[in-house]
Amino acid sequence: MSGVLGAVMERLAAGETPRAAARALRIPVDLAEAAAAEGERLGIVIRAGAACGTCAPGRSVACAGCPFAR
Amino acid sequence: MSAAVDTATVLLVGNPNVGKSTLFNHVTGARQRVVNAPGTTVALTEGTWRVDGVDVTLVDLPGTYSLIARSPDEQVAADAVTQPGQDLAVVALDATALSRSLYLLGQVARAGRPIVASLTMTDLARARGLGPDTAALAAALGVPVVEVDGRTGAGTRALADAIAAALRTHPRVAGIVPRAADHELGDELTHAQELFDWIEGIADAALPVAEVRESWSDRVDKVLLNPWAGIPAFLAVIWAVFQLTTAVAAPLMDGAAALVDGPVTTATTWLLSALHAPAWLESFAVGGIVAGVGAVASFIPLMAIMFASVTVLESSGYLARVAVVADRAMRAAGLDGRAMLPLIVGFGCNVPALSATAVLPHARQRLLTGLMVPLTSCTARLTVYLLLAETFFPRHAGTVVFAMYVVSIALVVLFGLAARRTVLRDARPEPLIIVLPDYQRPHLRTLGLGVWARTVSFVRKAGSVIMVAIAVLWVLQAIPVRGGHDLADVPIEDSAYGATAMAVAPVLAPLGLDDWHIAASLVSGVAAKEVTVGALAQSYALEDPGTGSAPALEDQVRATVEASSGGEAGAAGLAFMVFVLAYLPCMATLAEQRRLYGWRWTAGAAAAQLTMAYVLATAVFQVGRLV
Repeated sequence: MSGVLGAVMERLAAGETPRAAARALRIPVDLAEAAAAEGERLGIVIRAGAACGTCAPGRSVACAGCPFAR
Repeated sequence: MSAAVDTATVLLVGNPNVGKSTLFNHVTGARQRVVNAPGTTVALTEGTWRVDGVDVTLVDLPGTYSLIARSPDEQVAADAVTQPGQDLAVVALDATALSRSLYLLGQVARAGRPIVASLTMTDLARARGLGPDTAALAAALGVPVVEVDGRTGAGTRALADAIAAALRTHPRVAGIVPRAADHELGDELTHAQELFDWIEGIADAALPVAEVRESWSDRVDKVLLNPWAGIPAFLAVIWAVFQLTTAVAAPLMDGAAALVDGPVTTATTWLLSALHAPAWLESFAVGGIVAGVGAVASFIPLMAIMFASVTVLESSGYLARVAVVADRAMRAAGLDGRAMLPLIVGFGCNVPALSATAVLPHARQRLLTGLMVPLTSCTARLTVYLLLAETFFPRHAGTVVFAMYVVSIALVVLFGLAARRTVLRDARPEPLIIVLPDYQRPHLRTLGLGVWARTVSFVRKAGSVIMVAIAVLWVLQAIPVRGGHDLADVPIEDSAYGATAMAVAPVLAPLGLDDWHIAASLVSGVAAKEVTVGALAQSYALEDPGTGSAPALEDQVRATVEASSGGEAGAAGLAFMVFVLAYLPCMATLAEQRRLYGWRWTAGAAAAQLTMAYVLATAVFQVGRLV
């Protein structure tokens, strides 16, 4: 992956928020957020929602906010 | 389109909440009608706007950030833009988030639509120092850009003029080549990369440079996501959670256990006596249901506190950071980072974790992760750890339970590495890319709802599974296999249940656990891990059917293990916990594995796990007794 999108993806993979990625890359925050959102639509990234990771016994995977529920 | 037109169809496109519908309402007034998008139930609003002698049918499309749709509404917007038959698109641009709006504009341009841009929220953007240079933006885009305010109508006259002109001149966005409608889906990534690079150029030309300051969230991340500090910080947080949980929950659990052993047992016995219930029914109700279910019910306060702690961690954004830290560790070990999310789910429950492996794109990765999932220590196993930790290490229960989770993580990694270097050498590791939210303060309402939902779920599952399991165990305990006893009137050691448990028990001698109560609870735990504690309590209750005066479950377990281990109860208790962690998945997990991977992989993995658990637990006891 190359260009702005690739650079934002690299930053996200390193554990940065879109805002931190924007600061590091000196691009507008909404551009980094747009790249993250489009990466999610393209299936490259996963958005960390609330409630992932604590599926209780007997619950389906579709807990509120679970990234797998989408 | 001819140079002079009488009617035209114009699409109004934009991100959600960009002020598009406000603009639509202002310019069309009462001349609106609601129609269903072709072939869907998605409602679209159309209106008529007289523009310089042309009757424009203006279509207010659902708001979307991208033409790669994720909902029926977004699909309608994407279809309307990409299908032929429209004359022009008016793309509403949010001046406070212009780059994001420009991405959609670029996609519309790529679909081949002539475009006029309407710029909204300019007052807000200027107040924030983000106001774009409209003339420079229009020059960079190569299409008209008109500042409008749908609330006041400011700019709508200029927008009408721009639309009228555009219907004659068909302005195209500079720097974007329209693509064929039947492009390949695989091209989407390339197109997205090109569009983002194009936006960066536009931003350089027309947007003020806005400095992004380092936030406190960024500063915290420097520590918590540091490759060296991240894992120790995570371990410290989890250790603190278990310390807090065990310290706060211990008196509550004691109270709940006293309630079950005292008033509940007494009331049940009294009620059945008053109803002249037969002895077998009293035995089943008191020794089976009340003892078995009650033992697990006493964990409800603890589970609620545990769920509250974890909900705080996740709603603050910290758990997502754990996935990132763990991803690095996994990749360093040659494992796929994206497996982290199913594995984290596995610490809640293994069954949905197996379903969650669907997030992995390759079948071999799904298989590898699915075989690792049963080694993640689900919350059902937590009840066993807590009972045994409080029994054998009452002053360090939190630390011992924490250690079990560390062992679980170590086993997951070691099992994954072993599988990857032997039977799954062709699995290809790839990184996890996750969009981290900023840290935030948990909301009390969210916290309450999360804890309530999970606790109710735990109670339902524990209640239903344990009720069925206890009933089955009670039937096995009522069937005599030796001694010539009558049905339902048999000492437990002569029942099918007792005889089986006694046959299995010697196998556990190297673990210091050569006792039929323990063997029975481990066998029962394969049905569901929640049953382990219930079956243990039930076997003691049936052996000693006196009510209200029996020793506490912890005391009975301690006495049993003291005897079976030759006085090395601590080492045997640890071995017990390690064995429960690793020995066999529950029935539901095995069934899901068989469905996903077939019975050969399931049986092979189960056999490997059982062997590993046996060897490990034996080592723990044998080494532990020497220490």
